[in-house]
Amino acid sequence: MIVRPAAGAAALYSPRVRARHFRCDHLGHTFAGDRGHVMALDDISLDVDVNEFVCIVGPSGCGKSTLLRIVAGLESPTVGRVEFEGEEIGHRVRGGLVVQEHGTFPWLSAVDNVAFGLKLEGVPVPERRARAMEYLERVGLSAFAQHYPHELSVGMRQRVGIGRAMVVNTPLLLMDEPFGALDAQTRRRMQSELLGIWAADRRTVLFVTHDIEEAVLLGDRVIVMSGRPGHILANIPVPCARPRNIRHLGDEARAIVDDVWRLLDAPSGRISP
Amino acid sequence: MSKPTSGTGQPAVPAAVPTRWSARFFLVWIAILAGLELFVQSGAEKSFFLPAPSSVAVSLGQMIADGTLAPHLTATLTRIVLGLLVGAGLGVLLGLAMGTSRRLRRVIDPLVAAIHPVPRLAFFPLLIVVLGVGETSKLAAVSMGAFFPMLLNTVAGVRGMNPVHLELARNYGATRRQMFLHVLLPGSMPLMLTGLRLSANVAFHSTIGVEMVGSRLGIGSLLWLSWQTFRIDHLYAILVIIAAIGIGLASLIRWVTQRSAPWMTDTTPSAA
Repeated sequence: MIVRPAAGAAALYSPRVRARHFRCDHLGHTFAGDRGHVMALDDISLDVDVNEFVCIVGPSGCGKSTLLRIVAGLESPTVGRVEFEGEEIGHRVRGGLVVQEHGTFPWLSAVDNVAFGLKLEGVPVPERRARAMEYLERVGLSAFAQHYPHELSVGMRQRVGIGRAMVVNTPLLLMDEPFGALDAQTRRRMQSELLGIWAADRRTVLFVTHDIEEAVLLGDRVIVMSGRPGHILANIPVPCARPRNIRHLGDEARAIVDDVWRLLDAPSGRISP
Repeated sequence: MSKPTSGTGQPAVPAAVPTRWSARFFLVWIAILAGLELFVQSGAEKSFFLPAPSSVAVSLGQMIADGTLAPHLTATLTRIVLGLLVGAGLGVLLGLAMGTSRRLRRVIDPLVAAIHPVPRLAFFPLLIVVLGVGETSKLAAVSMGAFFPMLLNTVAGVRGMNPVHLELARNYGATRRQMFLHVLLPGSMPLMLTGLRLSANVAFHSTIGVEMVGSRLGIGSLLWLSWQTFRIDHLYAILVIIAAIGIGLASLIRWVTQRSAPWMTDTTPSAA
C-alpha cells in the first residue's frame, strides 16, 4: 500500500526527525456573550512535533474544543497566536478536521464524502475516485462506497469522516471527540483501527477527548486542561511502546491514568507530581 | 418516518414498498360505485345533485371525444406549469439570496410578513387593473401564489443548514462559490423540495380559482360554466379531471424530488 507523505516537505515530516509542527503561543480566548464575557482559554502555550499524537483531556466546557478550533483556523484567538513552523496560521490548515457528530454530508455517498476535499481542490475525477476508494479501503468501508450516510451506522459514518480527513494531504489531523458518540465496544475497535491507520500513514494528530483512558491509550502525550477558564494543568508524556494493546492497559499507562485523575480531582492550581 | 433510519447501530434496511394498488383496493371501489349506480338507477334518489356514475363517465368520455376538453385542459396545464416555473423560480432565487444575506432579510422580511397572509385571489382584481384582462394577469396571480411557499422554505432551508457542515467545508478551504454549490445548495435541497411541492399545490389552486373568476378557457371556467348551465354530470366529470390533474402534479413533484435528492429518506409527499 502506498503511504502518501504529507504535503510538501517530505523529509521534514519523516517519522525519524523530531521537528516542531506548530506552537501555540500564550493563547487566550474570550467569548462575548449576552451577559458579559466568558473566558474560555487562558494562557495556553503548547508545542507539537511533526507526527506526534497529542491528546487533550479536560472537563466539559474547559475550552478544549475551542483550542482545537483555533488551531484549525476556524476561530481566532483573542490573545496570542498559533505559529506553523514559524508562520502565522493561514491556509496552512486545510482539511483534517474530524468532528463528533454530523461529520458526513448526508447528500453525498460514502465515497463522495471521502472525496469532498479533493473535489474542492479540483483533483480530476478518476484520480479523485481512486484516492477516495483507497482511503475508504483503509477505514474498512470499500463495500459501502455507494451508501449514503443515513444507510450507515454511527461508527461507519465516523470512519467515513476519518477517511475524508486523511485523503487530503494534510499533515495535521484535528479530531474533536471523534468517538464520543459511540458505544464502548465500537469505540474500542475504532481506537485500535485509528492507531493502525495512523501507524501506516503518519500525521500529526491533535485529539480532543474527555475520556482519560482513551487519551493515554492513543497519545504520545496527554495535555490535561482545567475547568473554565481552561489552562494547561499538565503535559504528560506517555512513553508506552507502540503498537499498543488497546484491550489491556499496562501498569505504566494505568499509573498515568491515575495521575490525570488526581490532577482533575484536585481543587485547583498547577500541581507538580 | 416509518423507516428505522439514521439511528444508532446497524445500517438501516430499506422498507418494502407498500402495494397500494392491491386487488382489494379496486374491489372496494368497484363495490361503492356499483352501489351508487344501483341507488340512483332505482329511482330512490329524488334530488338532482347526485348523478349516476355511469352518466358521469359518459359525459367525461363525450367531453374528451368531441374535443371540448382538450383546449381547456391545455390552457390550465400551461398556466399551472408556467406559473409554477416563474413563481417558484423567483422564490428560489430570492430565497437563496435572503438566506445568505442578513441585510436582505431585514429589508424583505416585513414585506413578506405583510403580503403572505393575504389570500392569493384577493390580489387578482388589482392584477387585472394593472396588467389587463389577458393572460398576463392570470399568470401573475398563479406565480404570486407559487412564489411564497418556495421563498419561505428556501430561506428556512438555508438558515437551517447544519453549522457543522458549513464549518467542515470551511476547514477544507471552500471558496464562496464552492460553499454555495457543494454545501448550501444540496444542504437546503430537502426544504426547497418541500417548498416546490407546496408551491405546486398553490399554483394549481390559484389556476382553478382564477379561471373560475375571469376566463373563458380552462378547466376552472368549464367547471363554472357547467354550474351555470346546470349540467350536474359535467360538474362531476370536471371534478374527476381536476382530481386527475392533482394526482399527476403530485407524481411529477415526487419524481423531481427523487431525481434531485436521492439521499432523502422520506420522499413521499402527501397528495394534499
